[in-house]
Amino acid sequence: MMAKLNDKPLLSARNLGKHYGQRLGCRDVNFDLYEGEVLAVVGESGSGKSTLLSLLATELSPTAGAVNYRMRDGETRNLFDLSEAERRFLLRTDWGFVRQDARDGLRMGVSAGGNVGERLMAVGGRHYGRIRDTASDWLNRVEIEPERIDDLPKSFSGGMRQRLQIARNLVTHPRLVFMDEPTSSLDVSVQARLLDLIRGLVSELGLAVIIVTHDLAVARLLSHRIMVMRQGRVIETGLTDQVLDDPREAYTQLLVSSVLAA
Amino acid sequence: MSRSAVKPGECVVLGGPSGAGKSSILKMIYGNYRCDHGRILVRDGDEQVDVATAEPRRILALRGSVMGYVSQFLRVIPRVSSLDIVAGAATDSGVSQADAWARAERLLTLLNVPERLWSLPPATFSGGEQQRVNIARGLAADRPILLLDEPTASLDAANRAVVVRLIEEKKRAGAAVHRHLP
Repeated sequence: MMAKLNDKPLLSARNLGKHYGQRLGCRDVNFDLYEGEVLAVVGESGSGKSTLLSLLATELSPTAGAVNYRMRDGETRNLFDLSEAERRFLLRTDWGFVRQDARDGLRMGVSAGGNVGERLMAVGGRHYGRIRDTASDWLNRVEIEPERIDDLPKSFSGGMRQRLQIARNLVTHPRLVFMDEPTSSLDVSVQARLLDLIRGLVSELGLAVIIVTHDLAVARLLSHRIMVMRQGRVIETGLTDQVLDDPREAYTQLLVSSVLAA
Repeated sequence: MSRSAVKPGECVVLGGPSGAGKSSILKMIYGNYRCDHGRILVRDGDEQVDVATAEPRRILALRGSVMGYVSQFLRVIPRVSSLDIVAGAATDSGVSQADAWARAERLLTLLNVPERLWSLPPATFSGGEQQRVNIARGLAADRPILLLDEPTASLDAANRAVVVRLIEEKKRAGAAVHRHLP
């Protein structure tokens, strides 16, 4: 997965922070993410991990700090200095966002094929037949039978909806994908299938991923690196297996020892 | 242990009673456990990397091309077949796809993993079968450093002999690597 060791980060967070009035969302977050790297952000609810993800995806404005992103043209820009049009273009092309609840990530009134094709049209796809072929190909890659292309996501199971979300996000070949608890609403057996699918696609496409999860087993399976958050701060960071097998902070030790098997 | 060095083609055995820290040392070398002090210098081509202080992605790169680690325990990944696990370990270290498959088949055969199991994920295998898949995975890759943590524990005599033979093979390959790298 490691391409070059001397390349520049794809994304860098610098002293990133967010206060909601007096209340702390997160603060002093610093990290670099390189292409092909999977970073898991773990912590309990209220630890600030979802706030952090929203900041990185520019859905929230920070109260401190910057997020620098290396654009496709090689230029590095602070995401919060981008124009609205530039930001939208990033969101539709170079980024993906897989939501915990598929209803937030899909258009439930549009067919499966339409959900995938929409992203293609956003990047200039115009030829109906080709869009449909690509959509069908992606449905196949996420293990949805191509015969279901005209069905609405409403008729899909939870696991299928998550797989459809993944197809919709990956069809434009993004370089960075945000994932917010992508498996937590699913049964355990369905989770395993989805995790395996994500794992395969991430390594095949060389994606950079920032995944927020409270599930340490998910972090173990998917991520290279881990950041542990507590009360809005990053308290521990490192290689995933190092943090999980040899946690330094008492809080991380508690997190690791309070799950059945990670 | 205050100071120690291992050369290409050399095999160093850490002995001692359980609890002495043998596994911890291997895990520190692999970057799985942290070091409180001291250095672990690993040669990667022309570069020397200190595992104790290296960035996570530097350690991941070392694990890709320089260091392999085999423990007694296999961490099972859902839905990935035994053959893919072993061949995948080889391709991760830079071995070509075709060569990786050939190696995987050879290792699984030598280690007496029945062919009917190759296409199945090892989750449902017996402990011994899982361990042998794990050893095959560890030996499939081409890496100058191989860290083995009790690789033959709980194997029967026949399989233990196979593992010893395979490790000898690796040592000879390591010596060859040495001759090419001054």
